[in-house]
Amino acid sequence: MNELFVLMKKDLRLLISESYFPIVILAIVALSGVAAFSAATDYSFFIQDPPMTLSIADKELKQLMCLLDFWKMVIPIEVLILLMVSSLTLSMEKENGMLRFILAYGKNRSLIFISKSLVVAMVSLIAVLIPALAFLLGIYTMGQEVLIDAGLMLASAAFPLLIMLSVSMLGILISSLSKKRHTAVIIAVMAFLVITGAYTSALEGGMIDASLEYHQEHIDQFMTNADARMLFPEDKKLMLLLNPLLMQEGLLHVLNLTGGEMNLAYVEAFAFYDEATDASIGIIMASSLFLMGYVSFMRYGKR
Amino acid sequence: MNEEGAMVISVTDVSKTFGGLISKKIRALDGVSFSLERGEVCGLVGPNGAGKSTLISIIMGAEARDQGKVTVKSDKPVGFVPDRPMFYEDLTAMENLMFFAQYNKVDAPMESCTKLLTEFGLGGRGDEPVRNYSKGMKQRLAIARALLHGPDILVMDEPFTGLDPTMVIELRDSIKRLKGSGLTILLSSHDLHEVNNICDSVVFIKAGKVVNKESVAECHRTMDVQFTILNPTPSILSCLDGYAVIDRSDDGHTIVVKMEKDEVQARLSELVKAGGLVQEVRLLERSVEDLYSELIMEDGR
Repeated sequence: MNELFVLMKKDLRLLISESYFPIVILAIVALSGVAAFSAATDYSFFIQDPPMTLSIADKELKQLMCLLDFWKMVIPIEVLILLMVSSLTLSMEKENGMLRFILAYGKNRSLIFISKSLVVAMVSLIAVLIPALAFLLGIYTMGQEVLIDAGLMLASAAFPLLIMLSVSMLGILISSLSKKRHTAVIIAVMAFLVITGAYTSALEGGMIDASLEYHQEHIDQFMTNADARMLFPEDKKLMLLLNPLLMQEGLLHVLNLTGGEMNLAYVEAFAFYDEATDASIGIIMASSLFLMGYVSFMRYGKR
Repeated sequence: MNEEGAMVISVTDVSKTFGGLISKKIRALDGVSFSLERGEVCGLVGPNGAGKSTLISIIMGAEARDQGKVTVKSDKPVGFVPDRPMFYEDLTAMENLMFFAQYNKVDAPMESCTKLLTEFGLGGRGDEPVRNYSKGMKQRLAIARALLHGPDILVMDEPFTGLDPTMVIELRDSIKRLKGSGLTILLSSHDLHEVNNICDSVVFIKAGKVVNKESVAECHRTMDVQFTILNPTPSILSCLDGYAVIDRSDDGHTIVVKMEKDEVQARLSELVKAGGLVQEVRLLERSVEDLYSELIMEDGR
């Protein structure tokens, strides 16, 4: 335990001393600020010029919808940031020879990997807490009452956190497989493009396929979410299942935006799975990527 | 074998090949065997590409061997000074040392780090990031780091490379101090003069094979002796029969033979008794460099 603490202390100190670290924090703060301003402005305009008489419940629902949009704006960019940061963790030490040097001491090499993973997990947590705080501040500074209670706010951060943890573990896996930091960053950026591209194309393509199939038999009828789930192509569903961004749909459940009685607008957001399944997928994904990185790291330098 | 002479590093029939599937196969080490005793300071010398760094990596466990056996008898991790001093460059020297001290569970880490920094002349600059250090300072810091956990064995890969003369002298003094503390040291180097000064023994390695392991004291005991004889008749020269002739002048007056230091006086007396007019006797002490020429350079000097 002491060994892990010493390693974590060193890894944290190394991360903070890196020249890119202030830029990362600044980027997260700036991104959160812009997204929070956008969400708060949207909410303020809605309140000032309402389409109907608003109840407290309506206002709360609008805040929740703004929060959903807020997270959807923040998550993709933070995915890129975290992929890049985590991909540098091991690759930098490999490149400067320090990893091989430490391994020569013959200590427990698992702890080296666990320490790096925990430090990256801490960055993921920071990357979620800063935006959550920024959102509340945004609403508050616009002179509006914050109607989302703290518990719900924290719960809404759980799924973004799972996404961040998954991509961080993917970044560490990339780092574990790369010998040079530049290679690791390039692969991380490519992974980001694949993740975001595959998510959009699989979701939109799948919906179009499902819609076409539905309307072959049901002309002039609206396709319900249940129909879409049933007709969604399996290959595209698998692509989504393997994508960390799928966990965004967990936000819909937490914020209770998956349907029901809503008088603001017709809202029936599409989600494949229920809240528990989404959380399980996230945990399994983050754990699997962690294990893959671990196995890869444990093989490093051994022949 | 007594406690002092106990073997601490044993390398037996170690081989290593690089490349294969795509690139050309290179036999870096070919059946290398040698051993080091406790307290011995051994130099590992050979030309570039001879396999010195590969051998050190294998001893340190950073590189896997294809065959053979490496035994390192030590309760503590081996102290290692790599050929390129590597550190967490953005951290200070003290932070670097403190990490390794705590990682290796050194008692009173702060005191140990401060003491070593002072001992290696870095006392006033421990709070500076290592990236600001010169190569010589990094080299000294690397040795301090290697000694932090009080190892029984220290392995150094090319510690003199790239250092200016002042740094070489400082490093030599540091190693000599360590030698007195009973540490077993294996150091690879191209600097034969330093190896000659510092080491008790030398392992000569060429094309992945150990050509010889020689004691430096033994090397110094045997010397090249140059006799200049005005009347070099066969009967007079017969006094030097049995000694290896290193050189002989065209006129036959000057002959250089290899013999032990203790024998020179007796042979000189014999030459004189046999009627030889000995004009000059020059004692040419042999060094590691002479051995290197004989063992490694195919055409000698």
